[in-house]
Amino acid sequence: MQTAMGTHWFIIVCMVVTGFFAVAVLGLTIVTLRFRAKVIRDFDRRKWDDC
Amino acid sequence: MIVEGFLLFAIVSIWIAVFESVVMMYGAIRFIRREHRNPNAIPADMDHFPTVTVMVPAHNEEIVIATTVEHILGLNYPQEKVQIIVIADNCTDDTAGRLQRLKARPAYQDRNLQIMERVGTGGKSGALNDALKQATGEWICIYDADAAPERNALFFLVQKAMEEPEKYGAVFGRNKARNRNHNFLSSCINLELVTIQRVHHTGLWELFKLGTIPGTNFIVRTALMREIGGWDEDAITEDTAVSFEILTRGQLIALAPKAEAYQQEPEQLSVYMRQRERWAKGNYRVVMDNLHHLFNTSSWRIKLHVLYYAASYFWFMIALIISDIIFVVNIVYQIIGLFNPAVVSPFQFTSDVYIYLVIAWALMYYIYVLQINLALASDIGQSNTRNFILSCVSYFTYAQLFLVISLKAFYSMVVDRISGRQNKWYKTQRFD
Repeated sequence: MQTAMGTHWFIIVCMVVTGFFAVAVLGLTIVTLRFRAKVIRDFDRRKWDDC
Repeated sequence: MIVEGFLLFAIVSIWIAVFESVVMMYGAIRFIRREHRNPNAIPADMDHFPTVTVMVPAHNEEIVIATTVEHILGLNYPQEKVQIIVIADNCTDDTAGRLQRLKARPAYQDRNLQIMERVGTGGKSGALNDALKQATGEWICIYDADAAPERNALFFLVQKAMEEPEKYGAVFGRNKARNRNHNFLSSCINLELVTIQRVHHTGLWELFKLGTIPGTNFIVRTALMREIGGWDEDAITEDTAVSFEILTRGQLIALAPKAEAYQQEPEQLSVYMRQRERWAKGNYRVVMDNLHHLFNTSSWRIKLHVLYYAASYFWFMIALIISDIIFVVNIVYQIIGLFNPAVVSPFQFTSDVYIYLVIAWALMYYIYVLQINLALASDIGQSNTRNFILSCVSYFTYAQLFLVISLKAFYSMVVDRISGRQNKWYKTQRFD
């Protein structure tokens, strides 16, 4: 596939970088959800005020 | 060709912004996990703690000043080790009167509370410099006139400083919005505050031992502050300017997130815009003044600090503007094309590259929402449905204000430079 810029290499870079970010973001999402569940389990049950 | 160059620049810049967010989140997770393993421990005996001078600059603050000073007088710190100086700076209201009446109360007769009525120039920096001359404490602690520090805030700041007294020139805590649920604007400011403090501050400290003192709720070693020569009276954001001065002297600015203080945030858009424009302008100036560190023998930490600020205020802003223009123009032309297919967008990309701009943008949006929700998850009681929806919506509303603010501040700074106009200090409006 040839781009308008003739930069096939840039598409490959795009795919690699996007793949890396996708994995990183997935990992961070899992950690965030697990962390949120832990905080709610440990603290929110003790009826902390929302304000 | 130029248009394609813009496209590449926008994609690569968004990647760098996403990468920065991933790194910050990684650092924040490490920090917060460690923080949760170390529960608070308040010692019964604080005899070995250093003396502290708490300084509160106040310019026409009659609405809030008495409550603020009461909070400071109630701090959990040995009373004989605390000197409090409240500077009634060029006040035309009853700030000084309210302070005198507070001081006259029997409960505070034994407290070292000084009220300095000042008429002079320099704004907040000038007021702090005058108070610095009278400071007797080993450390100086600054609170803004609207601050409500938690009872142990000063203790946590000093405790952190005592971990590495040779290395830490300053320590800063966390500022929370006390009016966070007042309206849409204050709710969005709350999300921004929580994200900056729970993700960016913690990430920068955990990974690079980098910190920046905010305008309030921090301590700095008195001798160091005198060595620096006090606060820069020409700086609009005197706190950022002092931060660079501390770092260039090889000292660190440590983070003590348990030292919490509440502050009022703007509830009106006009007040918010004026406040943020001033901050952006001040930070532009600090970046310009410190750009030389990138090209000399300064430490990597200062270079990184300059890059972080420069990227936030210049690079990412330009990248966002370009990508926004490309998106909006293409959408408009797509709509026009429905009625007149002969009309073609100037940003018509025949390659797959445009798809990767869309993917990069989607990643940036996702990580924007994710880092807010990570920050909210680490703050007890804030991770709720309302804030989640706000985090999704704020990108298209509140966050876009940053572009307007940055452009206005940049324009104002350029006009200042060309015309030699002096910066005017703007005080954020208070309310009951």
